Amino acid sequence: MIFGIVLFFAAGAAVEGYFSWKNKERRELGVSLGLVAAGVLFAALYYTGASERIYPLGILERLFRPFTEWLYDSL
Amino acid sequence: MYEQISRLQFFFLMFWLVIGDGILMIPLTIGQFIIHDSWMVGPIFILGAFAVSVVVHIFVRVFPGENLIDALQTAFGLWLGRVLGGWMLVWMFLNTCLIVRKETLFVTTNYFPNTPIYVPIAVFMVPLIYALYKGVEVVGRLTEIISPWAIATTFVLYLLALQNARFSNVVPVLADGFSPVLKASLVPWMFATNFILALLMVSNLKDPRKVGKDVLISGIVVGLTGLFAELVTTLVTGMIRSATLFPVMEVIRSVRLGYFLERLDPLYVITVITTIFLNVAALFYAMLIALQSLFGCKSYRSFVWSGALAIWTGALFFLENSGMLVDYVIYTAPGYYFVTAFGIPVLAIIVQLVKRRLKRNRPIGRQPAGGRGASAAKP
Repeated sequence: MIFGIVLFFAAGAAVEGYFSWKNKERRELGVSLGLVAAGVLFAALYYTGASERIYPLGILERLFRPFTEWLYDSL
Repeated sequence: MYEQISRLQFFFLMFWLVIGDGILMIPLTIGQFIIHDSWMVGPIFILGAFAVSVVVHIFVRVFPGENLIDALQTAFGLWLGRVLGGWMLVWMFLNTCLIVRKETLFVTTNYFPNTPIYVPIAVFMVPLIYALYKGVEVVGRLTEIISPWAIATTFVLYLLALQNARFSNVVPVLADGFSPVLKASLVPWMFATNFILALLMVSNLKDPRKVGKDVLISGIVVGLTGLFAELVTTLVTGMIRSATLFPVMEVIRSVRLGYFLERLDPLYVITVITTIFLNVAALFYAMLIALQSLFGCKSYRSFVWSGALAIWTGALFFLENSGMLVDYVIYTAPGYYFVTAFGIPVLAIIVQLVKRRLKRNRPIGRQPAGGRGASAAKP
């Protein structure tokens, strides 16, 4: 079902992409393709359970958790 | 030509930008630190909103006519400006994913416990795509229509809940000192940094120079709303509020007048979903404008569907469960938001002012080629 919904959104994006291509708006087309690629990648990673095995926000946690804890301690 | 929204519409958009989702998440995070004194967080929130409004006020004067992403390229140059703009864009994306995921958590926990989480998010995204495809003017008008109804409904529900209030729930005042109140204010201050997104809507306002003032007014109203909401929540739920995922929901469920008026929570749910729609619409619009500016596109409408796809799947992938979400909001997001949404615009202002001063002190003679950076060529 999840990939049915992905296809639904991707179809909407394809229509937009078609009009961008028709109007020779290369940048818009590129941005749209990039977002679709990111969306499909996230959906695949979620579907395969990768988001349970890895913590996707781990990088942000490593970068900002010490600062946030320092803020809590200093208040 | 960007669509124009009125100051009232902008004020409501800024109000729901924080309250729309804050009414779900902020009572929960406050309850992790304090119970009796939670009402004090509302007025303290205004300090955070004031700080952001000052930044916004100065920003629109230092970078007249430029939105946040363009201004970063003006201040830091083309490449560093683009890198910082990309960093801001990732923040906006994760912020939107977070709000969408919280809305889904609210819906699935209370009403659709057996529905896969990706279905409510997908259903939620479709009208959002339509509204943003129509433009921010339509979202602004929608905000103008919905806001009085949503505010009045919530206010009446809170007033009705006061029949179960116990004054003993808010005393003793400051029993553990002022430190827990400040710690509980950190997450609301984090939400106040969302006001910086006003800098992506400057092109939609007739007089962008008043944007700082409008943000401050929104911040004050949000703070006073928080004071009232937190006071009623604590008066009604007391110690239970720290153990529930949605304390305000428990407050509304407690409303009962005789045998003819009870279970008013559907009214609250309608209000919450509608206002979160406005909240996500404002965030999503800001993200699309940031994308448009960063990549030099003519219009954001060419990637509304693909942006919605990325947000929908991003909300699933990045925030798998409620424990992860709450942990991220309390222990990681405040630092991330302060550095990104507050630190980078402040740094841009400082850099631009220093550049101006250096330029003013430079002896008259041959000027270096290049000029003002990336945005100089833009219309």
